[in-house]
Amino acid sequence: MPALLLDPTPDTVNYLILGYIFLIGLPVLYVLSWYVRQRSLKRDLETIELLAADERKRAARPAAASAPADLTPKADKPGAS
Amino acid sequence: MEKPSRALQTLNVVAAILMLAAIGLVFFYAPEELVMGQVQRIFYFHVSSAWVGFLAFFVTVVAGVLYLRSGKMLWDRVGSASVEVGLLFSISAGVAGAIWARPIWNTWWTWDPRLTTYTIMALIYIAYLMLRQGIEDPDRRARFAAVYGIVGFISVPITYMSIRWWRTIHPVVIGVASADAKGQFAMTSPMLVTFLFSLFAFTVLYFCFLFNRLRLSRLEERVEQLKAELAAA
Repeated sequence: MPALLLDPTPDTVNYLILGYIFLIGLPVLYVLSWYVRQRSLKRDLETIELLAADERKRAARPAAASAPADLTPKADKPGAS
Repeated sequence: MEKPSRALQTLNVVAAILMLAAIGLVFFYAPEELVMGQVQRIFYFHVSSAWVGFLAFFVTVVAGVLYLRSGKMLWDRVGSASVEVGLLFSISAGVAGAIWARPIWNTWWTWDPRLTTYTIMALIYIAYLMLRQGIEDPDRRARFAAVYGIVGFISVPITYMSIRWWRTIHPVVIGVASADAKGQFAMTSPMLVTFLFSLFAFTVLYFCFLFNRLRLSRLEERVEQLKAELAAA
């Protein structure tokens, strides 16, 4: 029978599984990487906003600090009483 | 970061359904190939992944041209996101191809024209991402990336045509192979249906990935802008 002369179909199922682990696994890992990157960017954003708020406070402080200095009562100065 | 738009959410769901259907067709509808056995099923996602790579790099060319004409940063973000997605699918196709080659060609790797040009193409786009990392000024980076994306695309048609121009063991799936080509296999009708459906599903998946990556790019750009403002203050 001619069918008996043909080589049997090889068992390559392990390679199939390995191939699909990569074909499906890599895009899944990539999607997961978005979440990691998004979380990291959100943390960066929070840090930047904190720093910006600090910067605004620091910019406002010299003006606020100089104002009370001018209003300091003379009695508080040493030797004034 | 704002919630994804309704259109993007729909695209995500459609892409997921199409991918599940494609997996179903690959494993339960397409018949086993008699000579290669089960490993031939890699073909459907291997070719589709490679197709997405080519498509993504073409989108980068279009985005590059549009950036150079309009100067809008949106096109730079599109080009960059597309290269990242394209590279992911190209690498995935390359690795799966090597796994398929092992039992069929009896080697993981050979310096075949297709494999060589494909590797050069992937390296060109890895260099694209590295180039972007190396340039601080956003406008300069966008201009360089646009030109690089356009010039680098030359590698894509060369890779595509390599199996038609040169003697190779890589099979030609679409179109006519060279007379010297080896490793051909004929597709039955269920195989062809599965193949075309996988191509379609991967194309939708590409756009899904691209738009999701663009959302992340907007956040990246905002952080970069705020950092620059803070440094300037």
